[in-house]
Amino acid sequence: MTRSIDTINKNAREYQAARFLTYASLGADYKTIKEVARQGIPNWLEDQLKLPATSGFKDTTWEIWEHFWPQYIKLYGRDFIVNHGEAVLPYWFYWKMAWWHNIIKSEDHVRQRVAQAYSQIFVISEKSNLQLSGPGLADYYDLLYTHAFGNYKDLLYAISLHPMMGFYLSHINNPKSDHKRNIHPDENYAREIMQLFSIGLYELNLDGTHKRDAQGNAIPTYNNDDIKEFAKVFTGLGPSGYYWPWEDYSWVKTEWNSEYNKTPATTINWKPMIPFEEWHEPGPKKLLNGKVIPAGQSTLEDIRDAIENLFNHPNVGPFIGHQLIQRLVKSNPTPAYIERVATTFNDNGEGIRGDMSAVIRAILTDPEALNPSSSDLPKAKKLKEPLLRYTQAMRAFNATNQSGRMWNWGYLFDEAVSQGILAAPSVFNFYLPNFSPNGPISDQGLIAPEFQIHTSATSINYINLAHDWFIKEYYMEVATSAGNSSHNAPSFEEKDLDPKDYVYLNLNAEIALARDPKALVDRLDLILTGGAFSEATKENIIQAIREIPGPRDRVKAALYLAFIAPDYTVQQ
Amino acid sequence: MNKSNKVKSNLTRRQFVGSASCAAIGSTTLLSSLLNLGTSNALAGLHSQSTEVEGEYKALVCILLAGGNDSFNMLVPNSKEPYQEYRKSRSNLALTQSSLLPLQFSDPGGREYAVHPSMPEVQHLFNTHKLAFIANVGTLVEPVSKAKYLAGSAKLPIGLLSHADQIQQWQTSLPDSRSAKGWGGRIADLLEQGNKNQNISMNISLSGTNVFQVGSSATEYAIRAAAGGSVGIRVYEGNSQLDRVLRKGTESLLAQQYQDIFKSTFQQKILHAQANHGVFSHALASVAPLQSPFSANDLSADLALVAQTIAARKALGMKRQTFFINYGGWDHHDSVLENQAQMLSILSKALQEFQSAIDELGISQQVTTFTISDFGRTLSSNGNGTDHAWGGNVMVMGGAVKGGNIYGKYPSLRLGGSDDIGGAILLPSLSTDMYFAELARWFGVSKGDLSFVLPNINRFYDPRSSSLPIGFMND
Repeated sequence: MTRSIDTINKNAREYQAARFLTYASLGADYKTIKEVARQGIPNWLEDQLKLPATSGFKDTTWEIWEHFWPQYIKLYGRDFIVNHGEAVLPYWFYWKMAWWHNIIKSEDHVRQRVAQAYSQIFVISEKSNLQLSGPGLADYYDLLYTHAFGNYKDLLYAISLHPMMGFYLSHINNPKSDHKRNIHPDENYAREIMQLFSIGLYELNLDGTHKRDAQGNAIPTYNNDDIKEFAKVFTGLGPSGYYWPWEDYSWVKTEWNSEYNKTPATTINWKPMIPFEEWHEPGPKKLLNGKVIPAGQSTLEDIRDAIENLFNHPNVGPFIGHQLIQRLVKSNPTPAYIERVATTFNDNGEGIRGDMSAVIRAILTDPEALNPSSSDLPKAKKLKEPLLRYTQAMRAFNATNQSGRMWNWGYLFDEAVSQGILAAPSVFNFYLPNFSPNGPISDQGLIAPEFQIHTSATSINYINLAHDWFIKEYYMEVATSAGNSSHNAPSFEEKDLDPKDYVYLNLNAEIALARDPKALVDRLDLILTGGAFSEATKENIIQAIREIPGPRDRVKAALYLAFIAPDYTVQQ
Repeated sequence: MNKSNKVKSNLTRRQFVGSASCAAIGSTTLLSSLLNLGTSNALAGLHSQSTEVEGEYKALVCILLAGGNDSFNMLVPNSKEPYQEYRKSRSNLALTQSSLLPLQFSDPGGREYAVHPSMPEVQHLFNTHKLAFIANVGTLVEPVSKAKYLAGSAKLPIGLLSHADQIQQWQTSLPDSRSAKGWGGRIADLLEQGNKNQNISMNISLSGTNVFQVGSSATEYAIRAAAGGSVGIRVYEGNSQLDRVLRKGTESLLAQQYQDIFKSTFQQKILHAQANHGVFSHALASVAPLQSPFSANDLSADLALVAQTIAARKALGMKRQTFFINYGGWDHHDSVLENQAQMLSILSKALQEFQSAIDELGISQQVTTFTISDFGRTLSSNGNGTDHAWGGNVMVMGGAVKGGNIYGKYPSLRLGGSDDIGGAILLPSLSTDMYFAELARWFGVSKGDLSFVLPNINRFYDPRSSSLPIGFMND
């Protein structure tokens, strides 16, 4: 008897661990689930929060570029590559390949998951001229990744000085006012750092609800005059140096207004922007809540003060906390949940404000996150993003290949479902935090951001992607050779593909269960959802796969059906 | 209950779902919009077969220039003094006068205008009276003068100058609230029942989810140019034993009853899309491909698919359709001269191509294309780009448009001038309500229903008026 109770407890712990990992990781295999069950969620999480940042996305991007460029030279000749044709540069797709390569087997589950969540709040995107610099995109992601458990203030400061953000929101090469020529400082970054990255549009209570004035109106956090003042702060920043893959520019001293400053193709995008003091707006700058930057400070002093000003605004905890809860756990957190997280942001228990490791811990281990049968409605936490379905599919079953090069381009996936890493259509991400689809969700006053990319086109495309993966066994677009089709991109032509790069999943444990469809489906339910499949869902999958004789085909069909089941795509 | 009453109660129930702003709707006015669709045919179509009347088909094609088009470099003053003012204000971003493409038009003050050098097709469309500009349109809560604005006594749009809010308000025309329902969606709430095919939405999007096309009951049907139209579940199209099994499994999962509204919403979208895919792909395949050529870029590809869908209107059972295309990337805080020139060129070509395709179909009177954008941009430069502002110029194109004209009042571009409210931001002289009301009237929304589609219209225009709000459409 004791033994069976132990077994039941062990199973319960595994289900709980698996469910936790659906939102605390980019997807976990059964081994990881068992490990979390063994250690218990709190202990495992503490270990995770202590793991150092190890997987450099920029380093991997450079390695991949180093793999390819000699091939272009060999195929087309140095003269052509350097002097003719479209420029051969370390474009965005090398970074894309690096992201998949690094995340696929990473063991720093929580840090990777949080970096991916940050990338949807502090948005930059390859769908812009940033596509010209893969190392720049990767370095920006490294920044999110390394700061995942650091202090929010340092993160905001680092983001503000990153050249890719500089290009994306155009505060690189932003000169001081020139009244004679009617030129004023660029307001883009000044606006978005407030609206999107720190305090939002309205004054918030600790629980994320709007403060109201005497007439019951929401109170704006800033006006256009404030934006103009902050715009002055973000002037005088330029690139730290120049880069061109075919010539050494490291010795060239950067100048303000050089032609080379104007595009991410020719600048060093993996080191912070540097100040050009003569182009920085002199004079005092009025910040929020009555703070004033005195005249005569340096560019970086001004920026530090402005970041400090925003950092200390009482909105940051509830504003950023709310969005992180939405990205990690659920679309409609209660005000009490937001308040608990915001309180932790304001003070981690040791008097420190902005400690993101404490904030992440508070979000992931809140009763509202841990408890699947919470009484608040809806029971559903959120629609799982397509990208997280994809990463989970690959990580849960240990996607691998013989070459060890998991260089997934990820282009077809993005085309099909309108999502990819650092690939939002604008700084407003793939979906707005307050999006609500027509029908019962909006009728009940609830929001469900991820449904903004669940359309009549993408919803069907996703089902066909699951077919690509599990039935056709085409899991990843990996190419490691140049070809004759393009002188500046990897070749996906059949003859150029290396069989050693072909990605496959390890389904041995599942195939071993195939003759018992119920056991097979129970295992998928455990690994993929932590036990969210209803009896009806299980039964429908079992009924279908019973008709398939071969064990391997049976597993493939079960996976396809499991991944398109609403019990899977909607997290509970 | 007679037939009319039945229609009325249906509409009323559908419209009041989740909406508190419909109190102004009288039941008779609802009917009158339906009647505009073609008198009794429209009503009959709800519950019995209706015959398609060719002359009745109308489509509105909305092109959103997301990001905020710097439209004072798209439509530029070309007379001596106004150009000098333009040049001074725009400083290093001013286009040289010799590069501009002049328009055959002068306003009542004798002032002439020109378009951006990369828009020869638009110049031609304008000069052949197929296209008009409307000057200085913007989101307005109420009529606002500069004095009132400066005195701080004007009611202003929420989140003025910010993308998220302004892009939304250009689609809702409700700048005093954060609504997620668009005026195209409200039109569909009214008119959708006039379409014979009630399964495929009247509102078709080439760019996925959007605010413009969502109403209380209406929602968009998303198609993809990259997919050549609608997409269907692949295993439903195969014939192998495995396909049949997978199809059965897929159908059974999608047929389950889901209590959870997230799951049912996920499920319903798929079911709806799959059901419509059959009808849609069949209808598109039933008509010959249009001969008019289109360029190889996303915008042209989207417009090509719109034209092809319009070609299939009868097979689709459509009398009214809206189309939505988001052509983004106009937030030119940086390098505005190079980037905008490139994008205006794509836009100009695509407009010409689309108009040719519609002309080829012989229904240019029945298709009206119009542009919207988050806002105009600051007249002054931030070095090599421009920032968020307010009023901007838009284009409207089609056989029913009284083209070759610039409507509204082209503002003074003098910094600190009569239209500059400070910071080189122009106060709009026409509200989006006025712009859209005219399109809505043309599309068949009755006078009485105008305030349902555009709840703020009364603040700018008397819907009972016998004259059109602006006058750019043929009556």
